[in-house]
Amino acid sequence: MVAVKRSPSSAAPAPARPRSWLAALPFLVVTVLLGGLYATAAGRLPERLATHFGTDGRPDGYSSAPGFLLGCLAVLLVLGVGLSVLVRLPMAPPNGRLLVATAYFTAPVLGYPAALVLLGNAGAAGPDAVRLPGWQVAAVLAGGLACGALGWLLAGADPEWRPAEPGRAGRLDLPAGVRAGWTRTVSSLPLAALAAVTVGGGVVLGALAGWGGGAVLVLGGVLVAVHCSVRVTADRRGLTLTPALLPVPLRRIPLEKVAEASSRRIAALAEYGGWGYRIRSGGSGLLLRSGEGLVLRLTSGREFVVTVDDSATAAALLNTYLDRRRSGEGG
Amino acid sequence: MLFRVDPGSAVPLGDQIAASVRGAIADGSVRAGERLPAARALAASLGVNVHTVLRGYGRLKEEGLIELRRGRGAVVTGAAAPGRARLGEAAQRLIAEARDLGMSDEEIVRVVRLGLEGG
Repeated sequence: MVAVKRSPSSAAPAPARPRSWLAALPFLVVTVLLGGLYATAAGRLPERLATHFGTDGRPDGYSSAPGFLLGCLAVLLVLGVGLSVLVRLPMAPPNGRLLVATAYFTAPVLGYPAALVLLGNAGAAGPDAVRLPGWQVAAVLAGGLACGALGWLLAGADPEWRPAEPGRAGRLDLPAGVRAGWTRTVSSLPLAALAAVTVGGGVVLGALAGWGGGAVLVLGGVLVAVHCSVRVTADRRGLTLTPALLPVPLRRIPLEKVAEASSRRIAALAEYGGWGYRIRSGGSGLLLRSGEGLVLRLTSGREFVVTVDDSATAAALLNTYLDRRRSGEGG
Repeated sequence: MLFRVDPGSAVPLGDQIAASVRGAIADGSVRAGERLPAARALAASLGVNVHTVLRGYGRLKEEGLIELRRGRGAVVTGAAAPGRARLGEAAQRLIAEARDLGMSDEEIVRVVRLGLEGG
C-alpha cells in the first residue's frame, strides 16, 4: 500500500468525470485511427469488401466499403458512450476499474480486425483473395488483454466505497413464551415478463429449430420464473425464501448462522450489480428491486440481503429470537 | 404480516392466528387479493399443529375475510375491508370482556340482542 498525502482541498476527488473520459479515450483513438486509415486507403478499396472470414481464413461475408466503416463506427460509438456513462454510476470496487479495463480491451479488439480488413482489401487483388488467418484472432485477444491491463492501471484504484449505513437493528415486544412468525411475498413484474418471454422463445425455438436449443431457453426461463415471486419468512428457525411456484425453499438461513438482522435501503445495481439472486464477494441475496430490504449479518462475516417491504419488522423479530437464544431461553 | 401466538393464553391458538390476520387486515398491512401462507408452512413457522392453523383459517372464512381455494390456498377476499376486520376485532373484545365477567354464551348473545332492539 502506498500512502498518498493529499492536501485537504484535493482530499475529496471527483472520479466520475475523468473516469468517463478515460473510458471513452480508447474508443476515440480507435475511431480516429480507423477513420484515418479509411481516408488513406479509400482510393485502393474495391467496391465490395471481404468483411467476414471463416475458420480457414477465407472470406465468407462481404459488404460495401462505406457500409462497413459506418457499421464499425456505430458499434464503437454505442459501446464508447455506454461504457463512459456506466463508469459514472456508483459501484462497489473493483467494478468501476474493471469497466475501464473492459473499455481498453474492447476498443482495440474491435478496431484492430476492422483495420486488418481495410488493409487486406486495399492490398489484395480482389475481395476473394483477401485472407485473415486464424492466428490473428489470438494476436488480437492477446493485444486486447494487454490494453485492458493498461486501462486497469490507468483507472487506478476505485474510490473508497462507502458501504451503506448499517440499518437499525430493532427488537420486537415479544413477552417470553409468545411465538411469532413474519411472512411476506416479494415479486418482480419485469422478471416475470422476462421468464415468460424466455420460456415462450424456447418453445418457439424448440418447435422451429430442434429441442436442444429450445430446452436450454425453457430451462433458463423456468429458473428466472422461480425467482420472480418469493415468499420471505422470518421466524424462530431463521430466514426462509420459498418460491411462489415451488413448495421447496430456495434458500434457508438458520438462526444459528445469523449474527444480527437490520433493515436499510439497498441499491441493487450499485451494491450487487443487478437484480435477481446475486452473489458478490462478502455477500449474496435476492434483489427483486432496489429500496427497503432485510440485511442479515451472518456469523461467517458475510451478509445476506433480500429486498422486501416491512423488513424492519422481520429484522426486529429475528433479533428478538437471537436475544432469546443468547439468553438461553430458546424459541 | 406478523403472526403471534401465546401458548400460555386461554384463547385457543387457532383463534389467535385468526386474530393476527384480522389485525393485519384492519391496519391495512394485508390487502384484498393477498395470499396467506400455506397452512403447513405457517404451522411449521409457528411450531403449532396444521389443524390449529386450519381452524384459524376456517374461522376467517366464516367471517368472510378470506376464501379457501384448493391449490390456491387462503386468499384475502375483496369484501375484507379494514372496517370489517376491525368490527371482528371489536366483537372479539366484547366476548373476551363478557367471559371475564363470567357470562355464558347465551348471556352474551342476549346483551347484543338487547342492544339491537334498543337501537
